[in-house]
Amino acid sequence: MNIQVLIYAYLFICAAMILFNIISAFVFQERGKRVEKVSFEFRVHIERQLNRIASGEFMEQAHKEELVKVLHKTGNMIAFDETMDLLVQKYPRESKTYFSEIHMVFLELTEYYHSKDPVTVAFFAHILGKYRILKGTSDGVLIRKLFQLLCSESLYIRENALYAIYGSGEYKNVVEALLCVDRCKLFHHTKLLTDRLLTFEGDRNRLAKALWRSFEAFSIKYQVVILEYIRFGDVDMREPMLELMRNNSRDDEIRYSCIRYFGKYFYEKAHPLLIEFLENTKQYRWEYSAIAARSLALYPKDRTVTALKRSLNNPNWHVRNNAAISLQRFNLPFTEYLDILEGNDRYAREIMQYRMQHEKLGKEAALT
Amino acid sequence: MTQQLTDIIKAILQGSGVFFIVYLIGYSTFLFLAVAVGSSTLYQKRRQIKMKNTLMQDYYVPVSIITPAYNEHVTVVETVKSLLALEYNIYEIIVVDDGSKDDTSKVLIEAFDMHPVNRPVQYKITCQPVEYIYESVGEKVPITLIRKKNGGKADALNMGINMAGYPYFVCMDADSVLQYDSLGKIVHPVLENDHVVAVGGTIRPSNDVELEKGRVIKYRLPRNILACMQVLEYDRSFLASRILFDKINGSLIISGAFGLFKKDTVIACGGYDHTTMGEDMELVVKLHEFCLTNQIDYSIRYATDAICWTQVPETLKDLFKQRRRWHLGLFQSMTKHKALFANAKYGAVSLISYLYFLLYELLSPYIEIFGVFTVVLAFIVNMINVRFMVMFLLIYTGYSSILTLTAFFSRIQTVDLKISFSDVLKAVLLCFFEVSFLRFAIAWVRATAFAGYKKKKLQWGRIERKHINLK
Repeated sequence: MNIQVLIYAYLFICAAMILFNIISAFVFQERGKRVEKVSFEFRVHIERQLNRIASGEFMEQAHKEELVKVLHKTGNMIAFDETMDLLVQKYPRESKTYFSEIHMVFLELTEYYHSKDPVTVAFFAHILGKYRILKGTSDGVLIRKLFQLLCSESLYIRENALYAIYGSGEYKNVVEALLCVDRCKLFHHTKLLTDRLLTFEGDRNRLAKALWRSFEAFSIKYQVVILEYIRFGDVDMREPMLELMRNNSRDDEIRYSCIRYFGKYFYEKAHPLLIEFLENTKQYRWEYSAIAARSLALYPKDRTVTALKRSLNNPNWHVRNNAAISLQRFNLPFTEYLDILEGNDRYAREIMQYRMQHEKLGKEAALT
Repeated sequence: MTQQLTDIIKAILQGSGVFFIVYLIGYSTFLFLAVAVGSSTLYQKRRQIKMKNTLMQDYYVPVSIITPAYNEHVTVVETVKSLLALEYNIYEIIVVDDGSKDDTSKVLIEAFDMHPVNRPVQYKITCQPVEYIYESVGEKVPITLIRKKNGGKADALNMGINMAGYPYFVCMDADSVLQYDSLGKIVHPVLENDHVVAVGGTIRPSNDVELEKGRVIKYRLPRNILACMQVLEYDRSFLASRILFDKINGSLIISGAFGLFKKDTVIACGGYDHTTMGEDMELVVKLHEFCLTNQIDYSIRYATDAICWTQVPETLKDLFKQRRRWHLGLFQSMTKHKALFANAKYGAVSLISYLYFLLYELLSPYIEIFGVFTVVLAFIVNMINVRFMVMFLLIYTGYSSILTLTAFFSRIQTVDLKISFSDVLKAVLLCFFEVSFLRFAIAWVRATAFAGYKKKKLQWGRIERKHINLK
């Protein structure tokens, strides 16, 4: 009897699975059709508004009211996004005005979308970012609401909220947002944070300076993010970076970032310290020597050549490799390398030979 | 005496009956749970993608792609070309020719205008020595060819790790094609969680699928029936067990055809074991044991949307050879890490994953054959209700087939692939054959896998290669 119950139970599961397959196939098909239909309707209405904007007229109030009503459905918001994807390409100038005009629509939708499930909340934040709904907004309800999302458990909510806030182009918002994420103590990959900062479309110099002013308020991980932003964002902050690099009490990761910065931006005053990092292997960890060896490629001086040549005998593979990379970048006459190539240190000889071959191959490839 | 023997047989059969009921309830429940969780995860993922709950494609974690090759001159050039078409910015390609007897190195050197270099090797993991190294610098990303003394696939992978310049590496087979966005997708778990040490990709059979620059131009089920049944089997196993195990951080397998690993952690635990046949599974089990023993916070993930297309065997001979090898690899991995057996110290990895693999993967062919034997015995002593047995078999076949179809259609629906009506019919018909015939044939092959084991211990698993259908 019990076995029969079990068999019936599994039969029921089979039937449920078949039903699940059929219903899901049907639902997907219907949803697709519906989104297509709504997208078409949106296109007609929005294009009319865009044409009004193009001819210098005001947008119709009824359209805004209708938008508030229909965009209360997530499916319609997806259709709106698909429509705008096309219309932004067709009407780049008018669509900017259109979005600034419908700012209030999104304000009215905020409460509703913030009460939805995490996937929908993240989607709403994405829409705000994608269409720069907050452009030029330094404060206000929408921004405040987005700040509340920065401590969400969902990585996508945090990422999309940052995307929307950075889209405002206001550096103060960015600094505040970054501080907020830092204080939440949730894992957020440094690569995501740095790359997201680099998407900031406002004044990069002002942002860098504002981040610098708040530097001490950030945790070490976020300080490294700021330094990476300064490095990749082409921001000139040589003197304060040198001060930071000199400071022995700073975390190693902070100082590594500074060394990398001076590998991208030449600064005469940084040279002696870079040499010190490379040569003083008793005081500094091998990472200092390895990163400094790479950064010194920007300082083609006799003192650098001597130090790099010596570093080719370093027991650490990464230091030797980086020293060889920097040395071959100096394009020295072949005779300058003879002492290494004919020397007794096999490791130094091999790595230098290889780097020279590699460089030669690169040049040949560039020519062809 | 005869009565006594019959009583003993009956007692044994009754005991076996109870065992099989418990065993099958366990398996059916697992399969149901796995397919239900897998399907719901895929639908959830589809919704997330539709609603932009994804990371921007511009986040690049530098990755070294390691492709071990042995006698792969037919496919290796196309494979590297497909790697060059990946939509990803920071990566390098490392092909390790493990002493091939054909023109594997030659065809690569000619196709990509490669030049010899005296590149020093830092042997962080021991492996067979280098014979020569070639590099190509004129391509989109650097390509390195390392020709080494033959030492097996694991040894070739270890050489690739030694040469890898980036903190994460991807291992893949030389007869496979990565989908254009697969690299971006497989690094996502790393960006989501800093403790991720490995990520498995999804393997899909590429037989008769038209691919252009890593994109699917036309999807259809393979014309070859055997390959077609493997499509269903792959979808079931990847959807079923892998997603469920991923939920409890208990994945024990990352296919050698496509997986991402954190280089430092792999080096710390000694790299691939060249003494086993299932080096891919062994590495993952070893990573679990290493991290749990050393109390390292870690995570091993599965990326459902990172897709690798691979050729599956089209002849029974090749298929049986492949499955024999897989079973031996499973046996070696599990016996080598027997410390994980029923050991609460290792948590879900031991009490759920290891136990599942032991009972339903490693021992299942023997249990299934024992099952057939007991049915015959029960028939002889007249202890079987034939009507009930036939009904039970039909229900079992129907149940497994429906779960297989659910897995197959979930996969099709959630990645927006279109299939023809004839392919739908083909899938429905063949899933019965897959469950009722192929499964038992493979069970027999796995049960007899140990025949000739010593002799073939360190050989590369070979199946007949075809040109990859790339445009």
